[in-house]
This record gives sequence, structure tokens and C-alpha cells, in this order.
Amino acid sequence: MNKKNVCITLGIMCFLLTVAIIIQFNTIKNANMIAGQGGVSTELKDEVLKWKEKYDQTFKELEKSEEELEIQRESASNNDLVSSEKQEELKLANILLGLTQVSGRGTIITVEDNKNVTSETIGALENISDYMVHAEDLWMIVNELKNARVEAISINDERIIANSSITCEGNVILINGNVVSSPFVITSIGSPEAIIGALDRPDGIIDFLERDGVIVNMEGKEKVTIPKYNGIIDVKYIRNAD
Amino acid sequence: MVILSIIIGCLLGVIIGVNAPLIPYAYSSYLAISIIAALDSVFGGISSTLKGNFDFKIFVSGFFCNAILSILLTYLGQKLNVDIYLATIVVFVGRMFTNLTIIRRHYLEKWNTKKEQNKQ
Amino acid sequence: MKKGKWTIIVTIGIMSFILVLVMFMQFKVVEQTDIVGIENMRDTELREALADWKEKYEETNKKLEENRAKISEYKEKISENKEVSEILEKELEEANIILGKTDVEGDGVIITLTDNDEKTYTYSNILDLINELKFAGAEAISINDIRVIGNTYIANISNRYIILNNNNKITSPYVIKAIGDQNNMQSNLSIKGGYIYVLSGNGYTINMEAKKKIKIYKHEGELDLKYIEK
Repeated sequence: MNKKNVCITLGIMCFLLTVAIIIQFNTIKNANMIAGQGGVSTELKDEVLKWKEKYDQTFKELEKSEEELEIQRESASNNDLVSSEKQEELKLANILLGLTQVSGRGTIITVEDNKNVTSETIGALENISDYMVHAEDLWMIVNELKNARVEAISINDERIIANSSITCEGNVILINGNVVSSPFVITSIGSPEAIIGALDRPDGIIDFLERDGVIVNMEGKEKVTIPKYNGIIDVKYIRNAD
Repeated sequence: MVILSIIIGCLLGVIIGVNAPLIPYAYSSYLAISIIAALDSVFGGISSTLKGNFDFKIFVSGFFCNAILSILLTYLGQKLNVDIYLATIVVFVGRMFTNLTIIRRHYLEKWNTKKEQNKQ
Repeated sequence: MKKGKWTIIVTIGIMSFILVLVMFMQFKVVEQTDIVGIENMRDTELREALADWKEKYEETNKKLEENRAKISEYKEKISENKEVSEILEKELEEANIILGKTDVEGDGVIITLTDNDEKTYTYSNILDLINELKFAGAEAISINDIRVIGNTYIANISNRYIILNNNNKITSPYVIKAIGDQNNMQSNLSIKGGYIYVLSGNGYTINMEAKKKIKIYKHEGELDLKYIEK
């Protein structure tokens, strides 16, 4: 082959290659636009991560500001009896609201889905969902705990405060808007004797759950620690009545 | 001395990396492939040091060029809808294993010769 | 040491720094991606997640600014040697509103549960409703004018009476007042699968109305802590 042919052949090959690449580029670009895949999804994913990071940072700053606020209150009311009293009241209020970590005597109750059963091993008349823990079971336990005068409750690191809700969203349980899964560790502070007495009696809530097939474990402890509420308590609709 | 600078560099990298801001999700796939390319360069550097033919310029240029080339290939692959990055992974990891074998053999031979010497 | 050797050392140092830096940044992104679970989400779920995180951020930011304002107020008062009991009083008042120690009012809904010949309400029906209201953002709730607070509990003591907090006996009809986002509460309870939909479908008598300026009374009784270590 002489030089001229080589050049022409190479030129044609380059031409074909470039054309093919550009055609493919455009095809994919159009396909992505129609299917709404690729570009849009990655942008959205990016945004989600960005806002989560912003939230994480702001939350950390919020915790720091809470600490500083506490320091300001302390130093402000040092010389003032009236202010000191109010500060103590405020501290108590924050504990009651669930905004601080607390510890004391109490109990730990563990409930979990019974994983040892499958659709084959149970009787024909039974329902496998009976062997799993439901949102209703959890708030019935919470109700019984309140009956036994507990002073703080948490389920798997989610503090149960006055406005906490426990709901089912499809297959998962949400507490305070966060997903919580089995096993559920319910920690509470109060008199262990009163709590165990109230829940573990015949026909009590524990009996009821165990008869359903859920695995329940309960023990009193000399010291348990319950974390603080991790969200923001904000009121938008209520105000003091005139 | 060289080892010291490596350790210091790594420590600094850890400290700053943990506190660095989040990179955009879209670039994370490019970053991943360039890390693999760079690691391949590192292994290549180690094995050539042991063989005695370490060339600093080849090492540094390979480090950065491999990373850049793999990023470009991944980008091209996304535009053409061909998963080119898969091939780069195969090549780089394959080379890592080859280099690792060389390193391993080198040290095993060294250990063997030492044993022989002690026997005598 | 020769200049050449220095170059080598510094360059290798920089290279290992870059490599490790980049690795950890990548680790971080992947970790966050896993935490948020966005890998397998579709567009609609992503938009929901985005709105969620944005809202969380805004709430937290607002609280942060409030705290900052309070801190500067305190600092001002301290530097001027004035009484800080006023600021404390205000903070205490806010806390007491949320705790239920004061009478409050606002827009909300009133739900009436009446026993009929077929179906009687038990304590778990009422618990269920309270739970759903809280999920829908109710900020203050009362049952037959008894305020529901953090440690309120409900139990059946016979077929006709339900008891709240050990000494409040109530009976049908049960009037449940809730102050909060009216639209949210109404839609959450009325949609398919919601409390009102399910119970009225099962033969219970239940009624809901939206109302402005609902008044909810304060909790009677003391709140004291015996077991929590201070």
C-alpha cells in the first residue's frame, strides 16, 4: 500500500470513529432525558446528601448553643436567689420535657419478633404476624409503664416524650419519625418492683404478648440511662389562653 | 526518611479527610476509580523497589496519569453507555495481585536464604 | 542530604497525603449514602427525602437562632448587671405551655366518640386515636376536658368506664380536643386506613369537626420526680 492509500484509509477510519462516538453520545443523552434517569437522579441524590450534611452540622451547633445557654443561665443567676430558684425550675422542666439525658433505678424490657417460626411451623389457623411486634404492642407497653408511674421511657435510643408517636409504616415501625427495628429495648426509670408487678401479672401486657408468641424479657436494674430527645420541640399552634 | 514522610502524609490525610466537607455525590464514582488506579501505582512502586529498578519519575507520573486516565475513561464510558470502568478495575486489581505476588516471593526467598545461611 | 533526595521525600509525602485524603473523603460519601439509603431510591422517594431533610434543617436552624438570641439577651443583662429573672421567667413560661401546666387555646379539631348498641370504645381505641393525633402533629390534647400530658395513661376499669391517671373516671361520649395543624390532623384521620375511616367502617360512632379557638385546660396535679437522679 502506498502512502496515499494509507492516508485515505486512516482518514476514513477516523471519520467513521468520530461519527460513531458522537451518534452514541447523542443517543444516550436523549435516552437519559426521556427516562429521567441518570442526570436527574444523581442531582437529587446530591441534594439529599447536601441537606443532610447541613442538618447534621446545624444540629451539632444547636447542641453547643444549648450548653452555652446553660452556662449563661448559671452565671447570670449566681447572685440572685429568685433567679436561682427559677433556674432550678427550668432545669426540672427540661428534664420533664425529655430534653436531657437521665438515669436512675428502673427496668429494661426487651421485645422481639420471634424469628424461629416460619409459615410452615405454625398451625393453619395462626397468623405469622402475631409473632411479630406491632406498633400497638409498643404503645400498650408504654401506657402500662405510665400506669406504673415511670418517669422516663426510651425505646432503642428514641426518647418517648409527651408528643412522641409510635406508628406503622408498611413493614417498619416509626418512633418520633425515625425507623426502629426489632429487637426493641424499652428502658424506663421508676420503681422496678412497681413496673414488674404491673406488667408481669397474669393477663398483663407481657402475658398477652407472650401468648401471641412474641419473645419478651424483663429485668429490673439498679441504674439505667435514658438518652435525651433528639429532635426539636416546637409549638406553632397553641398559645396561652386569655 | 522516606518511610517517615509516607507516615506523616498518611496521618495528615486521615485527619483532614475525616473533617473534609462532603464531595458531590456525582463525583464519587470518579473518585473511587482514581483511588484504585493510584493504589495500583503504589503496589507497582513497592515491587519495583524490591526488584531494584525503581524509577522515581515513572512512579510519580504513573500515579497521577493512571488516576487521570481512569477518570477520563469512566467519564467516556458514562457518555457512551459502556461500563468502561469495569475493565479498568479488572486491569488495576489484576496488576495489584501480580505485584503482590512479586513482593511475596521476594520476601519468601529472602527468608529462605536466611534460613540456609543460619543452617551453615 | 542532597536536594534530589529531599524532592523524593517531599513528593512521596504529598502523594501519600493525597491518596489517604481522597480515600477518607470517599469513605465519608459512601457512609452518608448508606445512612440516608439513597442508592436504591426512585425519583419520588428522593424528592420526599430531600423535602424531609430540608425541613429538619430549617427546624433545627430556627431553634439555633432562638438560642443564639437568648444567649445574647443573657449576656446583655449580665453586662448591665440587670435582673435576669425576667428572661428565665419567659423561658419557664414556654416550657410550661408545652408541659401542659397552663390553659391553652388554638385552632384544631374536636373528635367525638360515642358508644352505640353494637360497639363500645375501650381504652386501646382511645390510645390509638391519641397516638394518631400525635403523629399528625397535635400539640395539646384533652379527653373530656382532662389534659393529656407526658405521663397520662388510660385503662379500662369496667365495660362502661375508662380511667385516666388513676382518678379520673370518664364515660361515653368521649370528646377529644386537639390543637395543631388542622389540615394535617383531618387528612391523616380521614384517609383510607386512617382512624376515622377504619372505625366508622367497623360500626363505631365517630365524628370529627374542625374548630377555631379550641380551649384546652391545664393539667391538674403536680409533676414530681422521685427516681430520676438529679
